Amino acid sequence: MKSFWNRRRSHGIEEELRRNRPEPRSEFVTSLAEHVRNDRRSARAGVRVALAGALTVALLAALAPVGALGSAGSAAEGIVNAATRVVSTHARPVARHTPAASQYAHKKKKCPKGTKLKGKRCVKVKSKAKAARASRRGPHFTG
Amino acid sequence: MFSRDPLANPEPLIRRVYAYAAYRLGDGPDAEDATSDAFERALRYRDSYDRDKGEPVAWLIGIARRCVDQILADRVPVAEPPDREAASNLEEETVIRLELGRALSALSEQDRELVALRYGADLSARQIAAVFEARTNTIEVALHRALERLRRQLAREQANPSPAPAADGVRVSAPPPV
Repeated sequence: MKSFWNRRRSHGIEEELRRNRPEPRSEFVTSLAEHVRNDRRSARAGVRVALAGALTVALLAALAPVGALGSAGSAAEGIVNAATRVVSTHARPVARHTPAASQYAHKKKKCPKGTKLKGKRCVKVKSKAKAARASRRGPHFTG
Repeated sequence: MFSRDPLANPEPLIRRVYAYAAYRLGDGPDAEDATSDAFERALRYRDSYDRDKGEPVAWLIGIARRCVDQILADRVPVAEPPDREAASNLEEETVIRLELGRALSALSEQDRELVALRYGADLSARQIAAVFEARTNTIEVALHRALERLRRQLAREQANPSPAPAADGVRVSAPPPV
């Protein structure tokens, strides 16, 4: 009798090996795949936490020098200002071009009635009638 | 970062690793143990996977080889009589599977491994060459010779149905040197 393998020789042993490849039980595949997926999930969560921590540290490390420089700068500025105030002899600066100055600076001084501005003072003005009466009376007695 | 995860889609990988282990150890609990062990190790060392060095299946098979070797080393040599009478009553495909298993178990360890890598794990000759750190041509020649020996073994079994080691990987003697 011709052997089975001789009868099926045309198919080839390679094809038989592929076709009869051992298959795992479906429960085994499911449970192992689930185990692998769960492990991946937990690893991913761990990585996420680690990543967040690393980013926080990196951010702090990046901002720390900026904060330190700012603090040092403001401290130095404070010292300089204090020293300037102690050493400086300058008068207190006065604001000249204020709105009030621009509106009221050149106001002309008004003198009361019967006086007139002479320089910075208001001086009494002699009226013409008074001057005529005096001239009619004649000159002043001189003794 | 995880787009490079070698275990992103585990089901097809499990099937291929199992088929590889089953061709070397026999279909059953030992192959399942080897597959589970390989995936445990893969999970532990998945950071060591280098995408540039090959596909995930080749990396996994590299791990599975060590697991299978460990199981083979731990096996107690027990020879069981083959259940040929029972097999004769089964359907044709079952008979083929049993005969294949018996013939495979009669091959040398290296031949079995080559057949398991090529037809179990479904690796190409180039991928197997990468696993063995050998030339592709060398692997192709070795694979061709292994298949020839398997063919002869099957023909011998048909001609003379003598007791042989059981299909599920019971090792009777130490594997011959490569």
